[in-house]
Amino acid sequence: MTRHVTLSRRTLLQGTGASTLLMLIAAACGDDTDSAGGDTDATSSGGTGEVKEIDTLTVAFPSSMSNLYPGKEAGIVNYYVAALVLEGLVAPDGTGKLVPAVAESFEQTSPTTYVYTIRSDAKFSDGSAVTADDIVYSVGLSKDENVSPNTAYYWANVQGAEKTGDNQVTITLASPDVAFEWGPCAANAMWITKQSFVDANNGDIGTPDALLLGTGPYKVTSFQPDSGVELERVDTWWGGTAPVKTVKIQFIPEESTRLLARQSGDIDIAVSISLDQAEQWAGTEATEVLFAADRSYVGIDFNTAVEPFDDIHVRRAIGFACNREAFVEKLLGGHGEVATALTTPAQIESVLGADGAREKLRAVIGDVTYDLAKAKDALAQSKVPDGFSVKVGVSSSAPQVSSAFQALAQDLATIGITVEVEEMPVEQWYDTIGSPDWGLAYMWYFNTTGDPAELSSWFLNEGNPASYANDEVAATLAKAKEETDPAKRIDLVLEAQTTALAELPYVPLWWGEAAVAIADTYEIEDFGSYTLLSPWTPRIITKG
Amino acid sequence: MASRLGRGTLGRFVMVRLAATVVLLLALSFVVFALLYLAPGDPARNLLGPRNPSPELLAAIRAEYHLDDPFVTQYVRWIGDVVRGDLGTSIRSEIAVTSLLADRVVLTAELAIMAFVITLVVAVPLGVRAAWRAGSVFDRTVSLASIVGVGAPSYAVGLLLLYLLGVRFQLFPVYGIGDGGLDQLWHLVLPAVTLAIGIGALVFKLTRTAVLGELEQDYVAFARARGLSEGAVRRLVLRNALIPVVTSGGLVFAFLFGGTILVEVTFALPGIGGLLAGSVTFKDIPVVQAITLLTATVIALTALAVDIVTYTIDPRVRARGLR
Repeated sequence: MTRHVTLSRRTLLQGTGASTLLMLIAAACGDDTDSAGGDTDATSSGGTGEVKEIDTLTVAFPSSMSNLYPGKEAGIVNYYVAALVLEGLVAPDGTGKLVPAVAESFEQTSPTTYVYTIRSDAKFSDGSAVTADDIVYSVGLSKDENVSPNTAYYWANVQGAEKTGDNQVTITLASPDVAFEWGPCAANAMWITKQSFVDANNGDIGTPDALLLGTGPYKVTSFQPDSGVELERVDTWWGGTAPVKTVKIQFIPEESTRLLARQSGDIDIAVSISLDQAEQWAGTEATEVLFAADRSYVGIDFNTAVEPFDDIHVRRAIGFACNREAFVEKLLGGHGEVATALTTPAQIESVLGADGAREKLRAVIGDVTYDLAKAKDALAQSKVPDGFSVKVGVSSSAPQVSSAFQALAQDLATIGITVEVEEMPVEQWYDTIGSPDWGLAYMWYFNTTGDPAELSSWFLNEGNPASYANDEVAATLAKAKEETDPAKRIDLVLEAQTTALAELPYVPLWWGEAAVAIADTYEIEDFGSYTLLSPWTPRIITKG
Repeated sequence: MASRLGRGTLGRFVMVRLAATVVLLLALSFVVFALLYLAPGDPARNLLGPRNPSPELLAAIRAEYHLDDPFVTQYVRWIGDVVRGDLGTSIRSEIAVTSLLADRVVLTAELAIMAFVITLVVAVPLGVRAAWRAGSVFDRTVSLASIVGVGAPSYAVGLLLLYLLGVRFQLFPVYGIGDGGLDQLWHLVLPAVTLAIGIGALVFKLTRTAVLGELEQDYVAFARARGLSEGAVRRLVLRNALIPVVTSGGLVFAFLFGGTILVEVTFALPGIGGLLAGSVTFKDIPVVQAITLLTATVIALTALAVDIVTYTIDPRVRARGLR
């Protein structure tokens, strides 16, 4: 049962020029550009754009960072910065398939054993070569719940990592779990650094004084929490030299200010722009807006241990009242997709293609589509046929979710269910997840990996926010953990979801998209769901 | 004069006031700590965000920050550390609170001082002149503008200034703090003007009212009747009108120092206002405590400074003695 993933070193090492780099990316992404995010509006230049040296690229983030190391602070923007400075053993390609990064290849030699071979040309930005000891140390760092509270959970099933050769590291799991492959990835839960660097900073990492030491195409030259980060290109990256010399990242929390900064030409790129203002961004002079699926899932959670949501008819009544098409069209301006499963399309497209993925996912939700007559019938069959009142807590950072619940509340009012929407700070919303005080709640979840079971392994196993338990579902998911064939694994994961959603502990609403605004002198090649999670500046090309 | 300012009166007054300030800060720290403790939310959960946290990991984080200890134990530990000069570590960023605040306090103070200076330099002369020419076109124009200034939210004013002066005419930078030093001060001009507009309008009204009030006093009529030059009359009036203006000046500075949140967010400035906003919802108790205590200290010390200044410029207060 040996599987071997490798990338030809010849392809990678044809040279260090920027034009080679583009070929390299094309090679790493495979040629299957079709599947790079089904409804990506970004146009692919097909490699015809001219690669010019860019002196400084100014990028504006909507939220600030207080630590650069994602193990400490795992905001999505922390990952975007880390993607340029730090690397894992593997990295996602444009379609979400894992390809080698600092490891030139890896092999699963038994259900619980993974062997990584480190590329001989991997170097830290201080010029020192990456050794097997560095990898073992970095695994320990990601596993340490004090140093990396945000990733430690991901390594709970890992027994240990050991050096098994000069350039070979073997990671052993306690029990089989194919999803582990996403563990040693800088887009998820591992960032390779050096022990002497961390020790020299008294154990600090990612702070303004300690900064970062990694193997990626950039090094951090300055970091001011709540203000910005500056990155400088290095010549030690195994992948070559990036075309952008300096990357200035600025934190501009106020969206209107960010828009003005683009109008004045102060910033070149704004990531994660608010969908509400996407049209204003698109209307800004010399600016283009790119959309791509962001692997986010938004859906209702019922706490099935709380009355009246322990009654499937109540859950179905609410499910039938969710006008998901209207949510996507009207609330998201079409920049999203009606969700029919817990898995998002971008997590299975690399295996099934865009259409194949959607076809499979559509079957998961079953018969639950918008139909108020059916909602009324379902409620009539429930133990609360005359309706009831319930409140739902919505984060003030999720205006679309709030609008969706308002719309749902209007529809539910016609059948006798009163829903009161209570807006609250995002931190307070965390407390509503799985709480017995909030029988009706919602989840807005950003999948960090391309693993199809990421959300279901939480939502359908013990400790899930719906207090949902089904032995058959758990058994199917357990089987999926050991299934190494990607297509068969997807089938198992979706089978578990189909069985579970028939009882409707969750109602998927939509899969989200993220938008990036960029000066029209540049373009991002093959902008998709995974673009900003691996070295992304080499994908930025100057037009004309 | 020197002896009056000595231990007997002012010195003792200052000591008593400082002691009262310490008591006030203690009470305030207790109240803020209690409010944060009671507020919904769990810092350990906030640290991990919306993902599946294992009970063991949550327990480990709670143990690290002593979040499971009883309220009194937590408070006593915190106050003990503060007395030893340790403000603790931010739960959110794991950075020592002192180093987290160091640069931000400087920035917010620079912003507040600049706004304060702009307010005084612009609003006080305008107020005096408007009172002097009460009813004139000048008076009515500035008074009308001040009503707009008081009413306009600083967020809207900031964006308007940004659009006009930052984007349209490209006179000022749009966001951030630049490269430090003079460039940083340059970046603070627009935010300071934004802050100054609202509070400056109030100071203008206050100055105008104070000067008008003095002008209506009998002593002004007497002075004029006795043939004092207009300049001499003005000096008399201004000196007397100064007292409420100086008193309000202290409040204005305190308000500016504690009221930078919206402006800091609008102009993407890394000051303590923006930090406080994020820390409160996160329940990052050490950071919130440090910022509220710092702000309270600034307000208390400013009030003390105002009293000392009043003492020196108001002979009535000197004669009565400080209480």
